[in-house]
Amino acid sequence: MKKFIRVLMWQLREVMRFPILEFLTALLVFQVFYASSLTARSISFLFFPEWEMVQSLMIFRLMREIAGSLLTAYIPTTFMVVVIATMLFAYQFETGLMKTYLSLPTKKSHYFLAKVFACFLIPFMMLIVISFATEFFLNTASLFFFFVSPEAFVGTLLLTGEMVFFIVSVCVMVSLFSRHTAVSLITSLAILYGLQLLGGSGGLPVLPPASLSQGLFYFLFHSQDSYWRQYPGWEGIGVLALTPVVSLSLVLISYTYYSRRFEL
Amino acid sequence: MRQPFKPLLRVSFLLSIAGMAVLFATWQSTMFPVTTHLSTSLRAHEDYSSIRYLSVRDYEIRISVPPSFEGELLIYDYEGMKSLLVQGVDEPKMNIVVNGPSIVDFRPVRRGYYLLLLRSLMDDSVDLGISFVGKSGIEPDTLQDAVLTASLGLVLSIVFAISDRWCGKRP
Repeated sequence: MKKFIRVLMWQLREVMRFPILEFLTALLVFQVFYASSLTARSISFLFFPEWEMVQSLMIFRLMREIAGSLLTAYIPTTFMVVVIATMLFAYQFETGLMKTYLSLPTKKSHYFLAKVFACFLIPFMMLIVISFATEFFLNTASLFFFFVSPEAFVGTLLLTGEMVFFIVSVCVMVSLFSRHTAVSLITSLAILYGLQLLGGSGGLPVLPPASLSQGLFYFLFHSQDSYWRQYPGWEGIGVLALTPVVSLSLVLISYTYYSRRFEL
Repeated sequence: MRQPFKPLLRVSFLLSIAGMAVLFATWQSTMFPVTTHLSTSLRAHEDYSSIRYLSVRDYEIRISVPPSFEGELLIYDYEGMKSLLVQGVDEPKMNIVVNGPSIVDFRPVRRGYYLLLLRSLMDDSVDLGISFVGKSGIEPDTLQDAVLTASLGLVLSIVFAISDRWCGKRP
């Protein structure tokens, strides 16, 4: 474990040398804040509810809007993950750095997991911090909102995690198999952008990110009955399950390839 | 060379970037008006309450009711809402008598949640429609907070950059 953390820190330092965090902060803060400040939020009652219920609802609704606006940051997140994955896999292979790293006494699987973790952790942590900071910025009364509305907290983590994990799985696989910086950059972007177009205008909600914005987001933040009415039976299960299953499969394929078949 | 302040310098710089991004996003988003509408029916002497997130801009509250309608519109801020629901203390920010269809102008002092309570004083049930029109305009409190965040980040960046240089020179 210690060795793995050391390799992970090393990979993170490698990525942090470039001004990725600065670009990511500027893009994501703008995107999330802009999208969430345009949304009208309201809760209507024909009775006087309990204060605890009102407080929980207010925070849940605000967090729901912010979680929704996180999904609009799909393309900026994609750009950043593509750059990080290409730097850690294809670029290192092309420049021969990978050969040097793998000659050190550390397992191949540790290297792979550390690289994938680094690709996942940076955008995931940034999105989470930005969404909670936006929540606090918009409603300063909700500093400890996760105690009041834990479902909003868990929902945001799940939604962000699934989105970033999917992007990472595609980028890592393309970068690993292409072994070429330019090919990795262009192919990953084309695949992820194409999927967004197909899912949105093509009317295919099983494809990410539509499966997240029309599927998981509704499942977590709206009534689950309305979700099952919209996507009954297997279609609903497909919309929810396909993205995590595909992401996990892509990472497993990449892992097997890197640790067993990857020749330098 | 020792650089103990380097991580803090980067965090401060990120804070200033975040502040500038919020400033730009606020400036962009306030260009657009925000409109919402909802309809319901109110029974005799019933209260209709709606909790809304409002930013600091001019709002027009358009109340569509029959001409014979009599009632009152009460607006509470977050603290007022808490006092009302927890202690039962009725201290609205605004109290307006509504006779028939009306347009009420409202500008919140601070962004946050507000409770709008429409109280029917009628003996019959009525159909009610409420529209909220948030006019386009600069949100001074959000802009102020964004500028403060960016400035704080910038000042801290300068402080940490100087400290880092000073520490790095020491043997």
